Amino acid sequence: MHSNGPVARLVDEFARLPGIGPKTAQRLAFYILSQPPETARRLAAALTEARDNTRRCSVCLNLTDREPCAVCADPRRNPEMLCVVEQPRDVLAMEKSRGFRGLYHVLHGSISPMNGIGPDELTVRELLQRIAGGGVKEVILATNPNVEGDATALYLSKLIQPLGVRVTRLAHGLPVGASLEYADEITLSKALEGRRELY
Amino acid sequence: MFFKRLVLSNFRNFRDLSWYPYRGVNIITGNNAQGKTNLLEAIGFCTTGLSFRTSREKEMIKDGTNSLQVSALLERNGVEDDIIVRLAENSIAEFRLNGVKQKKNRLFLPVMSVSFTPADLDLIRGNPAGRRRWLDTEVCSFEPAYAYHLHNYNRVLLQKNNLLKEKIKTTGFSEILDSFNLQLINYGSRIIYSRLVQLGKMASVLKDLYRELTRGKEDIYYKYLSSVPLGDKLNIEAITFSLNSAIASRSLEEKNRRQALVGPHRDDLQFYIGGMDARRYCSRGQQRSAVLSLKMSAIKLYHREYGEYPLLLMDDVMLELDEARQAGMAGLFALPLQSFITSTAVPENFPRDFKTVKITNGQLIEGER
Repeated sequence: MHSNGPVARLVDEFARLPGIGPKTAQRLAFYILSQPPETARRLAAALTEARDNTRRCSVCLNLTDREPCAVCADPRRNPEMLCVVEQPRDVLAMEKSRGFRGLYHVLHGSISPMNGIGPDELTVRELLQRIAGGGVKEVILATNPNVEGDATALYLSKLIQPLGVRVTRLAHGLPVGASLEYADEITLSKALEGRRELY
Repeated sequence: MFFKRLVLSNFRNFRDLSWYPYRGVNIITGNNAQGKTNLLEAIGFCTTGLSFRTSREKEMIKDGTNSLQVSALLERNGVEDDIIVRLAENSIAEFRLNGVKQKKNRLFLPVMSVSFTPADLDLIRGNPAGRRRWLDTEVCSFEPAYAYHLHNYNRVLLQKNNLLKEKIKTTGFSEILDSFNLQLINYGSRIIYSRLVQLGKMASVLKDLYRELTRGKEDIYYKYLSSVPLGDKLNIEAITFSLNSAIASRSLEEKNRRQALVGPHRDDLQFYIGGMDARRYCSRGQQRSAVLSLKMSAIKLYHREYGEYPLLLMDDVMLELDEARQAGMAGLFALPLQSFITSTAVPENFPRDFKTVKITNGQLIEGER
């Protein structure tokens, strides 16, 4: 009944989003249409405003509505520590931990020859310029612990180390609060490899 | 481990099947295309989480229905377990052990069955990829982390080959190549090491079983042929070192040929029977005995490691083995081992007592012992 026309278009647009299948897309579309017109206008305004006012921070390349972004502009943060992550959402995860008080650098991906992604497709040049600019004492490579993330970390460490900056890699191991019996074999053996002296 | 009861619903051509298998040898007979192998597949599926026939698991759902279920009562080390495996058209398989949903895509680790199919008979004269796959499966059942190393190794290999093929001119090519090579060396040396450890454990068991099976005239042994020069010392540091230097010394060739030429993905296993290269100079019969002894060694090693026997699933290979070889298996069937053997006819002079069931058009009829 709505095979074309504005309703079908709305369903199609929702279905393009990640994690949204055709059924959910339909549900969202019909929900919005069942609500007062303001709901749709608010959503549309929020979408366009977010899109129009968001760009990459010129310092860390995270997505931001201000220049520089809130983290880069915060004088309480330690500019000597730089945490390199793959995606903006990784910054969010790190920030939630509240355990890191340095600055970030967002690569916007990881090295993957099979997808044609090399250093030029990432923000590697910006990272190197930033470090060459001075003031950074430690770079924490917080790329994902998979083949591509590890390759990216190894590659970056090779480029950064000669600049006389300490390079570290995020540890992998057991999730906090989980008991050993529920950890899978791989995580456990990784945690065993990365064990440390008690102090 | 024993299956005490097996219930299938909507599995391949079985609508409903309920069966109390015998604790020893179960011979499943019936004409072709009646469902003998389907029954074996169901047992394999709930013990390994995989079908030994297909990678498209949903093929196993009976036509015209949208979900299958296999449930069973097992006995392991004297303890009974209830298992249920469900697979629906629109979701992934769900495994329950005593009512508790398992997080992983299988019930047991290590897997609890050893299967033996006609394709296995080509192991010795077939291509190296088949032998590597066999070896990898063996190692996986003794070392769960191996599957992870292998998976990552293959991923690194794919990326490295893509890099060599497409992106020779990319920025930082040689640094990127190094970062994949470092990982290739890391995972690759663990793989080679684990393979050698497993082969080391298996060598003497295999030799004894082969002698028993062939009434002891010849010896069987194997050599691991590696693209990496390996010394006599079996330690991971030495392998890492050799793999590293092998990659370094062939890096120019790799760039010219645009593919990764060194690592466990290029390795092979060579069998010798009575001192002769089994692939080239041994008869089909000798090759069969060798494969049979390999399967039997896997069962022995499994018992040595875990203190119980896995299930043995033999699909249509019994009649391919002559009476002497069947008799040679008597020792195996004397073990407290449950086996499921499909065959179009009941083998004559089978060395142990057994029970038969007949499968006709998706129905099971219990036979006489």
